[in-house]
Amino acid sequence: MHLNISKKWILYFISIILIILSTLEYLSQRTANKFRTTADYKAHISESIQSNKIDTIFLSDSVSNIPMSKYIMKENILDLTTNQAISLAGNYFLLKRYIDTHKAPKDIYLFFIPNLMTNQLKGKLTYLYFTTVFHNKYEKKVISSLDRNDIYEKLSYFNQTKYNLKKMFKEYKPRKRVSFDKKYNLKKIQKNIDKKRYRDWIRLNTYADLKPFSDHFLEKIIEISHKHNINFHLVIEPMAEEFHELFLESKLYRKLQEKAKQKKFTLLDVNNYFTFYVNNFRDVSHLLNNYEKKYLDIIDKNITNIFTNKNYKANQKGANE
Amino acid sequence: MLFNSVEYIFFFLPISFFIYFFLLNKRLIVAAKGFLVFASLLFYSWWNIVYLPLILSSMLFNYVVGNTLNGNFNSNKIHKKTILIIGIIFNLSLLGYFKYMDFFILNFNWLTDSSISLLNLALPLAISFFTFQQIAYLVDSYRAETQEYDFLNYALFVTFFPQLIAGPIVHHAEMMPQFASRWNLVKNYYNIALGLFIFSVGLFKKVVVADTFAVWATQGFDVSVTLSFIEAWVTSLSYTFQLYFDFSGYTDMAIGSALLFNIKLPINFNSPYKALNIQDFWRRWHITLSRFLKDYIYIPLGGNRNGSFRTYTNLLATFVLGGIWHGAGWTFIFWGFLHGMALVIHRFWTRFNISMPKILAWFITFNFINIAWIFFRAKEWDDAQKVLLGMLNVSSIDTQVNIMENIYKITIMDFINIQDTTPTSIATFCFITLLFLVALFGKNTIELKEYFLKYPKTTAFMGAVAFTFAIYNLNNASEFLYFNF
Repeated sequence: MHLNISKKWILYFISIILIILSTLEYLSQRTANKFRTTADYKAHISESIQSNKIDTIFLSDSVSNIPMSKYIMKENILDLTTNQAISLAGNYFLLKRYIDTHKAPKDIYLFFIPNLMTNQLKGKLTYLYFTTVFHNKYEKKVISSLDRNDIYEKLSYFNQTKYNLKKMFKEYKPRKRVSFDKKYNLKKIQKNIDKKRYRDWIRLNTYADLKPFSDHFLEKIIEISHKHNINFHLVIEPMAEEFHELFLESKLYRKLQEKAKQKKFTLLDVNNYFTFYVNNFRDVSHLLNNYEKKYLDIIDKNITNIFTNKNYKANQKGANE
Repeated sequence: MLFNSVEYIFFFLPISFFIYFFLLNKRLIVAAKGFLVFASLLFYSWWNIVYLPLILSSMLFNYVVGNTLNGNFNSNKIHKKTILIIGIIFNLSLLGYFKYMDFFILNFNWLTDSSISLLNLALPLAISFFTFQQIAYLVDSYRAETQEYDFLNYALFVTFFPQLIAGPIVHHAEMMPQFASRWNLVKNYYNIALGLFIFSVGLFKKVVVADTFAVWATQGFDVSVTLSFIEAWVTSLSYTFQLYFDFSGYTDMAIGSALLFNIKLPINFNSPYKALNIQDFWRRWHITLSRFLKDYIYIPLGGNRNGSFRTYTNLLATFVLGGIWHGAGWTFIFWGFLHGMALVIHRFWTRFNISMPKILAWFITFNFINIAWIFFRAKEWDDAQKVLLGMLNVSSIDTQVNIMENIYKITIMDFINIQDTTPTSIATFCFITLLFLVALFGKNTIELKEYFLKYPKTTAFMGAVAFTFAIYNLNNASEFLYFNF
C-alpha cells in the first residue's frame, strides 16, 4: 500500500516540477518583452526619448547606474547607464540606437571599472541581454560576426546547462587562493565584504587586459564619436585604494592610455580627486549610500556639471525610472 | 558544499544516491558504505581540502580511544579515566585551538596590555559538531554504553554528509544501529518520497524565506549607522526569523537527504516560537544541542540533585558554555548567560505555582528570545546597542511610513522583488507579518509528515512548487548561519 502511494508520489512530484519548469520556460520566451530590466528600459528610451536639449550621454555599469538613478541630473544629460553584464557591446548598441534616431550629442562619457572592459559575454546570465534586449537585426549580425552564435542558441535550460558544464570543465583552473590571502591579509578586511569577491577583485585588477572582444566594441564607440564629431571621455569609476593601485599597473590601463593618445579621447580618473577605501563600498565595487553622493559630487565638480545647482535635492527615483 | 547549491542538488546528491544503491544492489555492502564515506569526505572537502586530515585524524583517534575505553582494545596498563581525560582534552584542544585561540589572545592582550599577534585561523567546517559527537561517544564508551562498532560504521557515523556540517548533533546510539541494520540496505520508496518532500520544504525555507530576511537583517546590523524604531524592530525580527528558517530549513534538508539513504536523523525543531516559556523553547529549539547540553554538561555537573542553588548555578553554567560553543565572543557568552538567567528565573517562578495567561506567557517568551538574538547576531557590542536603542526609540515612529495609509499601494511586483525592498516598506511589513503567522500557526515539518500519505497529491504539489520556486532563487545561494558555529 505504502509502496504504491510512494511511487505515485514520486511520479507526481517529478511530473509537476517538469510541468512548472516547462510552463515557465515557455512563458519567459513568449514574454521576452520590454522593461524587465534596466537595460530593457534604457534600450527603449535610447530610441524613443523626445528632447532636443540632450548634448551629453552617460554610459556605464551599475557602479554609476545606482547613484545616478537616485538623483535628478541636468536635462541635457541622458543617462544610459545600466549594468556590467551588458558589456561594452551592450553600451555600443545603446549608443548606436540613440545616434541612429537622434541628433548626435556633444559629449559621451563612458564610466568604467575593469569588469566592464573585460566582459566578453561569457557571464552566466550575460547572454540573456543579447537574446531579449539587444537582438535587432543589426545587433544580431554584429554579435554573430564575432563567432558568438552560441549566445542565440542558449535559450533553453538544456542548452544553458550544457553551456555551463562545458564552460566549467573547459575553463577550470585551480585557484591560487592562499597566496592572495596572505598577501592581502584577507582575514582583516571589513566584515560586510565578501572575501571571495575581494579575492576575485584583486585577481581581476592584477590581470586586467583589454580583450579583443571589448577592444572591438570600444573601437566602434570611438569610431562613432569621431564620425559624428563627438568628444569621447573614458572615466575610471571609484575603486578601493588597493584595487586602484593594482589597476594602474595593469595591461588594461596601459593599453587604454596608449589608445587615448592614438585615438584622441580623454582618459579621466575619478580616483585622482578622492581616495576611496574598501569600507566606502557596500560590497567590493558598489558604493555605500553616503559615498554615492560623494561620487556624483566629484563628477559634478571635476568632470562635467551634472546638477543644476549645488543645492540639489536627493530624489529617490527608483532604478528603472 | 552547500545544500542549496546546484552542484549538491543536481549532481552530488543524485549521483551518490544512485551509486550507493547500485553497489548495494550488487550486494557490495562494504563498498557501498565505503563509497558513502568517500562521498561525505568529498562533500566536506569541497569547501577547503586543507582540513580533511583534521577530521580524519580526529575520527581515527576517537575510534581508537573509544574502543580502548569500552574494552574492545586491550589497555590494562592505563586507567580508563585517564584515557577518557586524554581523549576529551584532545578534542577540546582541537576545538580550542581553531575556534577560541584568537579570542583568548585578544582578551589576554587586553588584560595584560600585551600585543601577541592573532593566529587568524579559519574555522574548520563542522568542527564544533563532530567534536561534540565524538566527546559523547567517548563518555558513553567510558560508561560502557557503547557496543563494538566496526570502523566503517563509525566513520559513517562521524562523516555522513547530511549531518556532518551543521547537525543535527546525532548520538551514536541512534545512528550506529541504523548503519548496521540490513533493513536499511534496500531502496525504500516511502523514505525516498518523504525525503524529497522534506528536502523541498527545507530548500524553500532557506532560499526563499531565510535569505529574504537576511537582506534586512544584514542591512540593519552591518550597514546602517543608526536605526529608527521601525527599522530596528524589522532588523531584530528579521534576524529572529532568518535564524529559524535558515537553521530549520537546513535541518529539513539534512533529514530529507538522509532519508534517501534510509537513515532517520533526529528532529531538531518543533515550532520553537510557539513556546510559552523559556524551558519550553529549549525543548523545541535545536533539540539535539539541548539534549547534548543536558546529558553531557548539566547532569554531570549535578543537575537538580543538589538543591536549588546548585541547580541554578548548573543551569547558568550549562548555558554560558552553550553560548561559548556557538562562537568565540563575549556577545555569545552574554547570550548564553541571558538564556541561563531566564531558565533560572523560570524555575524559580514555577516554585510558586502561579499560572499566567497563555498569551502573556508567549509574549514575554517571544520578546525575550527576540532581544537575546540581538546579542547572538551582533558582531560588536555597538551593533547590539544600536539595534536595542532603535527598538526603544519610540519618538522616531512619527517619521516612519504610515503603513495603513499605504497598504493599498502594494503590488504583486513588490513581493516578487521582495529582497530589493527597504526595511520600512509595506511589502516588508506584510512579509514579516505573514511569516510570523506561519511560524505561530503553521504546521511544522513533523506535523506535515502526518499529511504526507493522507493527501499524496496535495503534498506532491506543495513539494514540487516549493522546490521549483527555490530553484529559481538559487542564484543568490548563501551560506547557512550554523556553518559558523
